Amino acid sequence: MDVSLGLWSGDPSVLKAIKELLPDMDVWIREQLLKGEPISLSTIAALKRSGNLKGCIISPFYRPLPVLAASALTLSEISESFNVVLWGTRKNSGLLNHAVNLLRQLLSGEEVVESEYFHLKGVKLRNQGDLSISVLSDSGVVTSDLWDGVLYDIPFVEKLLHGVKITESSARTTRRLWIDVLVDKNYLNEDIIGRAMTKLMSYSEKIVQFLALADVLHTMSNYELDKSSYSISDILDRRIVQALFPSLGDVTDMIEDLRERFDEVILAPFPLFSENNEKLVEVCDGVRN
Amino acid sequence: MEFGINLNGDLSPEYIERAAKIAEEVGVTHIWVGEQISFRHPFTLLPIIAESTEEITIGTGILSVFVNSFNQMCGFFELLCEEYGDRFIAGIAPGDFESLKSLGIIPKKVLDTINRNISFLKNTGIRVFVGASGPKMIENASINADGILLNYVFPEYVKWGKQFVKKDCYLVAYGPSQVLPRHYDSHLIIASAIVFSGGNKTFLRDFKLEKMAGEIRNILERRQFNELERYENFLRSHFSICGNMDELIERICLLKVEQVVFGDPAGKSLDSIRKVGEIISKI
Repeated sequence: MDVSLGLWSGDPSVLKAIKELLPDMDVWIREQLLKGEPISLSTIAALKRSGNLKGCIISPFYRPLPVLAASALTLSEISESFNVVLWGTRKNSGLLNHAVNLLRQLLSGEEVVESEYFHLKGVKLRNQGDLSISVLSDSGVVTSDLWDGVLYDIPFVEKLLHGVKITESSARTTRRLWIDVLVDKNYLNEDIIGRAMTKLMSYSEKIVQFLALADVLHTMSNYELDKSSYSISDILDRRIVQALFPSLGDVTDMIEDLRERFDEVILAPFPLFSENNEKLVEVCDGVRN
Repeated sequence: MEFGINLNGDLSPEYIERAAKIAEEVGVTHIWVGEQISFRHPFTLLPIIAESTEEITIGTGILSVFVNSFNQMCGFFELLCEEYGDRFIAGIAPGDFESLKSLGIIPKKVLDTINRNISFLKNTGIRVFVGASGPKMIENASINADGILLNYVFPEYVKWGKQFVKKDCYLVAYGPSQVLPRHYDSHLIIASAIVFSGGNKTFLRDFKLEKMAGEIRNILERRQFNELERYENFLRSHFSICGNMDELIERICLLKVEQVVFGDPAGKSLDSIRKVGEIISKI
């Protein structure tokens, strides 16, 4: 099982992290809704060549698909093995298959004659290339032959294994798991709200219910709209931390189970710079060895 | 006077890296990267240029405010400045309406949208230039932006554009250019034809060019590029910078702007970029 470093595009000092934090690790960049710009950040990560940029987790609904396709192609030209993971919110995740299909058409140089949902009409890319396209699983149940892989983002392994059934529809599917690791509990602050929000919005209704976080998601949505009416403590309750942000100790405990089930685990430390990162390195080394 | 060169996403990252290095060596002060739906996106190309150069100023020329959201653009420029220092310019404009149509985008409240984007981008500390060719956009840009990317490279047309400038601002003349004889000839003619046929209505009316622009638009829509031959001399002389060394220097000096950008196809070969360096040293 591979282990990589996950970075959220809107995090402060994310560039410093690319260069300094675990410099020999593979890096994934994940889009944080309305924060940071994952395509340019990924390009810089690839150019810095400290570690290897493995991929980008990005929404096909937040930019025109041809922009996403052309940018991913450029990244595959400057980074040896670049992967794209598409994520959607609960409301549009059903359209991810359609997005994958259109992306494949664009990447092969074929003209997209018309896509009503993505508003494309007669679009064709000048350059062509091949890319591994995965999707962020919103339910953990459905996989598709259209995808090269699935990225799961439900951190607690017992919930992943027992509460949410994983079915495989294709032997070639690469299974990855993203885990936000809370390396220092003293750093719980507003930054983590955006991250939790992005994660919760990408979960299906079923998972939000399963994690019993529907009311938290509702509060968070309102918080984004009207920050003045809410305090951070309204949002960052114990349940969010328990459900979405395991500690280093939790991760160490779950690693053995993960080894059997996943091809790659992506560990995203929060905060990026902490005295506990040495322990994170130990965990990563442990997984790799 | 400062000098820019335009590199677009039809060129490979490897070529762009080499071209940017040479441009900086020969004295080019600015590199401008255009956005076109079928090309590599400036979000991936500007970092490549920044990484391979030391000081040169790098701008987008242009990013469409209808294709790219303001927070993506702000995040992009903030990141670049954080990593490579304060050497970036956000060049924005509405974008080509035909391309926008292929993405299902029908631009509305164009000036409002431009101004909102200028304001957001300026809040991040980035300099903002606006691509403009008509009276309203030029006037608005002169009031609200740090500079104007004028889509004209013929002295009389630049002079026409200048009359709408209400407040002193940095003016850039940006157009198709050919600095080596017969270099990418067909590209030059097509690029000039695209600029001309998409020209501002008031501009075309004032210079009595509406009929010819319509004919050229029709040719471009039918993709019968060989039919452009009969307009070639006009397109060369009025919508591009081309000629021998003396002619190039004379044209550039007559433009009377703060910066001249050698647009496509001048950036398409390294020799051509070196030739731009010779022109700069002579001026």
